[in-house]
Amino acid sequence: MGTKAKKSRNNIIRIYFVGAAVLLVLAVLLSLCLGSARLSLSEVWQAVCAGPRSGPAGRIFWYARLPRTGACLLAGAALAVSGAVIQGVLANKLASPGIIGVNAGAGLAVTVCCAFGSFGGWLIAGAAFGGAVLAVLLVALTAEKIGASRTTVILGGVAVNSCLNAASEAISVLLPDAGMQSADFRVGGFSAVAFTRLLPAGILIVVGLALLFTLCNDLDVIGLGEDTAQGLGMPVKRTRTIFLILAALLSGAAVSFAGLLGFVGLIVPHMGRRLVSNESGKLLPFCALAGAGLVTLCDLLARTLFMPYEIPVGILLAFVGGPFFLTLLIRRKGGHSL
Amino acid sequence: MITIKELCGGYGDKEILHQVSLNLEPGKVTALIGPNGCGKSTLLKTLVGINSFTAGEILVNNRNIKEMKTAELAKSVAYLPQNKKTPDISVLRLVLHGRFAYLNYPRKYSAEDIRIAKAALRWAGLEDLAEENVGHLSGGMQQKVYIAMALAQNADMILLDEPAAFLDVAQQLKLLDMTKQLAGEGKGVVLVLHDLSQALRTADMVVLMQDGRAVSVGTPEQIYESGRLQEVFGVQIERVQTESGWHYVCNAVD
Repeated sequence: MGTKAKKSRNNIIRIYFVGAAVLLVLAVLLSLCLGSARLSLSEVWQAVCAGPRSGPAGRIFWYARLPRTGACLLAGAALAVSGAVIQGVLANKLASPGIIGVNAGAGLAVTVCCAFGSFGGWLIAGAAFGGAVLAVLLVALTAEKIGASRTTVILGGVAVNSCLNAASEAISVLLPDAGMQSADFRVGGFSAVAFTRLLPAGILIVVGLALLFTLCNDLDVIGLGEDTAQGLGMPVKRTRTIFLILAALLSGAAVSFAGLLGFVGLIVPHMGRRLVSNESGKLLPFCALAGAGLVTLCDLLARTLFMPYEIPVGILLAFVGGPFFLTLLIRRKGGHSL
Repeated sequence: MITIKELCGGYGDKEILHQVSLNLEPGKVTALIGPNGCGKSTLLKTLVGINSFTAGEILVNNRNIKEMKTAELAKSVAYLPQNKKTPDISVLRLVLHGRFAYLNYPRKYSAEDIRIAKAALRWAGLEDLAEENVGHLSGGMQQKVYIAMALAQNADMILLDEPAAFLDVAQQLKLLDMTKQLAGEGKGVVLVLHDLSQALRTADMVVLMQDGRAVSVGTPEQIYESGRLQEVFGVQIERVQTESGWHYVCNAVD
């Protein structure tokens, strides 16, 4: 590839980044304006300037639209980046927080918290993080112990995922007060999101993203294979554990307020690799942008398509994600393995 | 300089290396040869800390590797495994990862790292391919890129596990010439080779291994004349003098 070709490739990547950013801004504006009560852009602006006590429009903006849009952005960015990191570290493009049990671990922890008491946002976010870490370490350590192949890691993750989901369901059935048996939590949704739960999780997500963005070269080197990475001077086991913990932090924090949102962590990294690059320095920021945009857009559709009814965003994401993944498989027929 | 003293080790509880003692010197190509499963690759992995060892000592420039951090060790000893991935990144990016051990916070490659990586690419004759995707190159070129990456690591010793595997003959010869060139520039190169005649033709020193032990160490001539090759490999080896030096031909024993 000559200098010209490189420039042209860089320009294409730049276009995808700008496109994702424009889509994100549009999705945010529409998400703030549209819903069961429609707000004009000038009403949104007035509400921003006047604060929450500026009449019905202000209250809708500050107590419903803003937390909901913020939640979509944070959950989308967190789950997409978490998926990209897990895929990189486990060297398996089928891995994602929803498939290998990371989200389920966080979900179980949140369900347990809600079943046994009413806890604050920090505790819920912390418990979700703990549940996600335990799940991901269980999968990774088992894989390492038995020297599992890439497929076996996924199968092990699916098994862990099933067990943890079953435990959550059992708690929800036996202790109906848990209040987590709503479809919104099981498939992921933002209808009940509030600042109290969003703020602690949001802080964890921002910290997690900032740390991961500085560790892009480490993520790329671990992707060269364990022995090569060690030869280059990386303490591989320690680094892999750090990455898995950071990915679990992002997923757990997102699950604590968004529920078990699937597919984002699977499809967005695939999209990023195809459109932008495999290099983490480009892939992770793109995943954050595209994940945030995709979830915000899907949530907007989920609450406006069938008004006055609202469907959980997870259902819509599954409708988008399923065909996307099938297309990916069909295009790869006879080609590279996933 | 790597000094190995009575090294025992392997994978987990399975001991593969028994009492191996060697000196691997800079400025020389040392070939590790021996039948499959004799511990050649295990030895290389043990030298860079991938495998642990149960007894003995490994000194790198007179420092015990147990007292060295992974990055510190990588600044003195570069290692390329036999099975390497083909990453979907540019050639320059892959060579830049040779500077990984030198990364500090913030974990970005510096202008100096880029300069060293480009110099390594120039050395390997790959500067025109700097922006090419590694996955689009032939196996031989990919191997060259990895060697440039090891060179960018700026280590005194470079350990290469089967660098010529899966390459055609012309590429194998070019690659082995590169290792001689590296040794000529003062680097110590340690090669695991399964092609006996190539190993004897390329190396300054040969370590013959059998059942996890270094059974014979010396120059190719000494090893050939010792008669141990026939004994260990179960083949007949003949030496032929040509204009370019000694060549070794292996024949099956009837």
